[in-house]
Amino acid sequence: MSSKKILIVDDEVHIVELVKVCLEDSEYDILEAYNGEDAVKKARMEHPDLILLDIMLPKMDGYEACKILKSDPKTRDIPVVMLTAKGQDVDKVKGFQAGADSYMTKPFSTLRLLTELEEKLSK
Amino acid sequence: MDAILDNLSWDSELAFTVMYKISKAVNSTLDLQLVLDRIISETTSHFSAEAGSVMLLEQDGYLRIKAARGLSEEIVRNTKTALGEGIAGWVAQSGESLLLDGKIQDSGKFRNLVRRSDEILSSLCVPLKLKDRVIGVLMIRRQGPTNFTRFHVDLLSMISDQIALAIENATLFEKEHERSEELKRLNTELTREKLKIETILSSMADGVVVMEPQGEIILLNRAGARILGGIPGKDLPGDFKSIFPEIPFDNLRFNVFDEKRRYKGEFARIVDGEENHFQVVCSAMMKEGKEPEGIVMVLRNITELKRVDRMKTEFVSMVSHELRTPLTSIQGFSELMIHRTFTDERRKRYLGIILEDATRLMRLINELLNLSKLESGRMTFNWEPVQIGEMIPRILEGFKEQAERHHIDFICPEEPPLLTLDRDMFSIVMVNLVSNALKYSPEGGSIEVKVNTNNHYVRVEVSDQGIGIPQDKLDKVFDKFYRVDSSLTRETGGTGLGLATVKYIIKGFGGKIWVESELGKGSSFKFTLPLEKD
Repeated sequence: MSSKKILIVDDEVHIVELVKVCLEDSEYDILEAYNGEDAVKKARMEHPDLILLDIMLPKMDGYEACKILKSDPKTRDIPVVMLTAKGQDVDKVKGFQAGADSYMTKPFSTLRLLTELEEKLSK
Repeated sequence: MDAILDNLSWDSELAFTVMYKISKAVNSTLDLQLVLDRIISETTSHFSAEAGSVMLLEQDGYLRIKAARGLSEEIVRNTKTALGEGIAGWVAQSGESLLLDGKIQDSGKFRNLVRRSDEILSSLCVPLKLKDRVIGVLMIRRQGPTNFTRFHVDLLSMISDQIALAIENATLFEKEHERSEELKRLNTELTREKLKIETILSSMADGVVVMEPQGEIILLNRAGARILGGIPGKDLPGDFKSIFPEIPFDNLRFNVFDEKRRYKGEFARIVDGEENHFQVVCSAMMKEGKEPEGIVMVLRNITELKRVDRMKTEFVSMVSHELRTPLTSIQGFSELMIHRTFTDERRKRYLGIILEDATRLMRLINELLNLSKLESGRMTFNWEPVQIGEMIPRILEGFKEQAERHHIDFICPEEPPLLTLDRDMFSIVMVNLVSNALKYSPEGGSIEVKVNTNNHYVRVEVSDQGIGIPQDKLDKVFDKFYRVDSSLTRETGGTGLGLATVKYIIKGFGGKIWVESELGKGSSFKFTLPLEKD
């Protein structure tokens, strides 16, 4: 069984690195994208098992990227976990409206992130 | 007319002449005091009396002297006679004339009075009657060698009706006059009150609409008309329901009339092509506190309030986001380093990231505080003379290492004028503009810092040959946290507050800042600094 692929989308290099370090013991394949457009492109090409998606992104924001992925039959089944510093209720509602499967706010506990990802991937 | 003095018996011709003269004198005016004065002057002169007085019966039942001759001021002022008291009181009560002759020593109950005032030889007192009602008395006194006779009594009695009528006419006229004056005064007061209310209404920024209980609009002030998109002073627009379809009128009526509470509501409508938000507060007007008489509505445009509120919310949300991002990596990497074991090299790298993001947090907080001080005008500038021709090159020196791929030109007139500035603040402006120029021209090229001057101001330009700014984003680059493309700033750790800070500093210096740019060719930030600081 090949290892699972996770696409990390964030424009903050430090955050991408943090998530990568966080996941390095779990033998996931890690893909990176630094803007919304790139995220959609990589998701279509690589078909990851899960997408960790930031909201405030250059070129195309996370909501928009999520909507596109969730309306495309080829990518709509990929679970999307929003990982964002936008922590207000309205932001969460917008996230779920865009089709996100779960929502985590920054700062996050590395342990909780791992649990969340494992749970979403096992489904 | 001294002839009358000697007449002891009735003389029709003389009586007629005197009656005519007195009657004419007292009836030729409607001024009450003048009438009273004439009564005294005419009767005393025609009857050769040394003294005389008119007393009128007042509301409180006392007789008081209203006009007199031959009496001291004090007596005129202080005399207050009850009905039945003394000569005047007796005459007023009985309604009969009285002649007191000093010679007649046994003149009944007035004997004492006559005796006491020895010098009064003769006193004649007649009632002043309107039909049967006594309104006062007229009394004349003589000290001369001869006394009043029956003739005088009859004559004065006959004249007294004319006199009473003249007094009545003048009194009525005076009352009427007073009433009309009062009306005039009330009218003026009402007009003034009305003008006051109109001035208040028309100078109010809030719209005021007054309507009938059924909704027909009867008053609309200037602001109200403007809010409704009409022209102030034009015809009232008619019916509430058609003008405010946004407000449930039945609900409003129920609130103000049945529930007796104020109705509050909000609605939005397009005015002059833009969405405006309004707040309305309605209260009932009740006739004598019972019957509905109308509804008063105060209409306030809260568009700006809403906009400021939204901006505040957005700002707080942005700040929260900007603080959370570096905090995430600080917290995340610390947590990982506690739970896992890393090589020394990796530990060093993660500590480096933590330090970097902590620094970024610190800078963000400092800049936020700075900006908030600048925005609210609480920032104190340390004004001092600054020679920017010398200061700018020193600032540019600091960029030497960063600007490997660029070359920075400084163009400045020989001796630029001395400016009064805050040195540190000016340094913040230059550092921000130059580092932006470097940041947004990643391919390198030249960066030009140019100083121009004329009689009124010094102009500084910082131009690059970088990626440029789209035309529609030009005015937004000075907004807090605005980024044309965040990918570049994130890598270099910008806070998104630089240009907003610069804008407020230049404003504090009394200058202006703007940007000109062409996509793909570069941007040029220009600002002016006034030569004379006010």
